[in-house]
Amino acid sequence: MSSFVPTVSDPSDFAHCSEPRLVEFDSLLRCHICKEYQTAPVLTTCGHSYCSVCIRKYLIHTAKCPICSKEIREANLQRNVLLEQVVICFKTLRDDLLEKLTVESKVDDRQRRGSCEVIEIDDNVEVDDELEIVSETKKRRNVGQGGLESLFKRKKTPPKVGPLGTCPICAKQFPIRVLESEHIDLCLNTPLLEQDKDSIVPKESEHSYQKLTKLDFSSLSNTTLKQKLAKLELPTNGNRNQLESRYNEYLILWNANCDSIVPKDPKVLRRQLAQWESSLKFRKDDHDRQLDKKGWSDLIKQARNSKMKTREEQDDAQVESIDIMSTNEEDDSNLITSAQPQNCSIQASTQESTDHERVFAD
Amino acid sequence: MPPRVNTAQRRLLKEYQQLTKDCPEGIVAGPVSEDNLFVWDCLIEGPKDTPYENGVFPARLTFPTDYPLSPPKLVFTPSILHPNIYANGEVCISILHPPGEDPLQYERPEERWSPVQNVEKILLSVMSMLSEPNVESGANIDACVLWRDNREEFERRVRADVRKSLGL
Ligand SMILES: [Zn+2]
Ligand SMILES: [Zn+2]
Ligand SMILES: [Zn+2]
Repeated sequence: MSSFVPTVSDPSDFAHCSEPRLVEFDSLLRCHICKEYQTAPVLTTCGHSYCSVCIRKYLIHTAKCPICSKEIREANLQRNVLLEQVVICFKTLRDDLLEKLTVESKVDDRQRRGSCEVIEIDDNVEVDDELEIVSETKKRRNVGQGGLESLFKRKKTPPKVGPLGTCPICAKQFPIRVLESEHIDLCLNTPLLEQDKDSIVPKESEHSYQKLTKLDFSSLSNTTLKQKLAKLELPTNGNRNQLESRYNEYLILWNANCDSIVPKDPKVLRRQLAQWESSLKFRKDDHDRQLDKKGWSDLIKQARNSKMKTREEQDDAQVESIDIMSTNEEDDSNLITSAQPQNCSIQASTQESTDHERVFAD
Repeated sequence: MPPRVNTAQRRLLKEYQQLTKDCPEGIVAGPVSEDNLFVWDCLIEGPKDTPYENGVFPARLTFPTDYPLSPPKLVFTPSILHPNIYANGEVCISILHPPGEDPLQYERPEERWSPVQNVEKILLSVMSMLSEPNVESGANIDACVLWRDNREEFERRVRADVRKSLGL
């Protein structure tokens, strides 16, 4: 497993940095359904937030909020623009933040006063939404003093700022001394657009994508359905069930995309749809494989360790627990064989396919 | 090129990663192989002060393609004697049932499956199921009756399962 596990980002990445409380912050920005940072987040009527695509798919099964179980309806989902901006902002800063906070504890204070780097995701790179990779394609630029660095320094040594005042032009707060001596002049002489140029977060943009509506398939002929798919530049091959499932999946991808302040190009959505279809076909093929011996023996090792811990607590170890946890190789192989499937009928019943699977598995 | 993984696989990967970092005591779980994240093997230790104590029970988790929208299935291999485990080894507890599906009518919805739940919570529920069987909504009627009417015999047979789980 170790070959690809470390490439998935996780709140616990912050656990060993100099500010481990960021673990909680990081996990707050994630969706409870997919555990990724929320993409095109939407608010439910009960005030919870999920990726638009995740909650739309869930509501097909169950018309309830996964967190609080209150009844909710797809039609009432609202875009959560601020959260999306916060997420984009944090994602952009994450790698540098992690790096700084990890290095920070080791580096001499003097060295930290240099310039501060901020990641900028290149807009021209199509980020593959199917896998979030921690090291995203990025270019770096210098931001000079201030930025994050000052933020974290402020936490440790609160600067003597004096009373704050609000700039009448940009509405940001500054120490009155700074405001009067330099900022207002500066602010007056900077065109508005110029001020936004350095912002990491995209502004809420007007885009022209309109939401798709659900189709009443019972009143649609095959030909009309194919025409609808063709109009969306989707494939028109396959049987009736496949056509309907394809439309429904695309409807969700499309409508969720409309909830984003940075919607993806329809080309990207069509690629996601194709991946979805092929993943349904794949599932049929990969039935039980053999145990990955290495991975499993690591797990056994962990089990043994945790058992050891328990045993330290109990003073008199019992014969049976010694037997199972002895370091003897034979015990491992016993465990492994007993963990293998024993009952063919159970295996068969656990391979039941969902409706969607059945549709595409021919 | 990183491997292409879909939402379910990505989430399973994450859960596995988390479990390897910080796994509750008495539980080991992980994918059977790198190629198939949808089938996990688990080892569950029998809780202390129960007849299951000292047992290490292998079980298999099978995840649906739409995980975490739908819950996984958990099957003890081989089965063990317990009021909430079917004779074929399949575990029947509320966290493994979505709120719509209602074989155990009266349970509170927050004990049900929802994408907020995860493998860790399932396995912890199984540990507490081993400590406290729920005979009112039993899956294995024989085990329920035995547990209620002849606890001594019940425990004797469970201890036999424990020895079997240790390969004795
Ligand atoms: Zn999500
Ligand atoms: Zn809610
Ligand atoms: Zn200003």
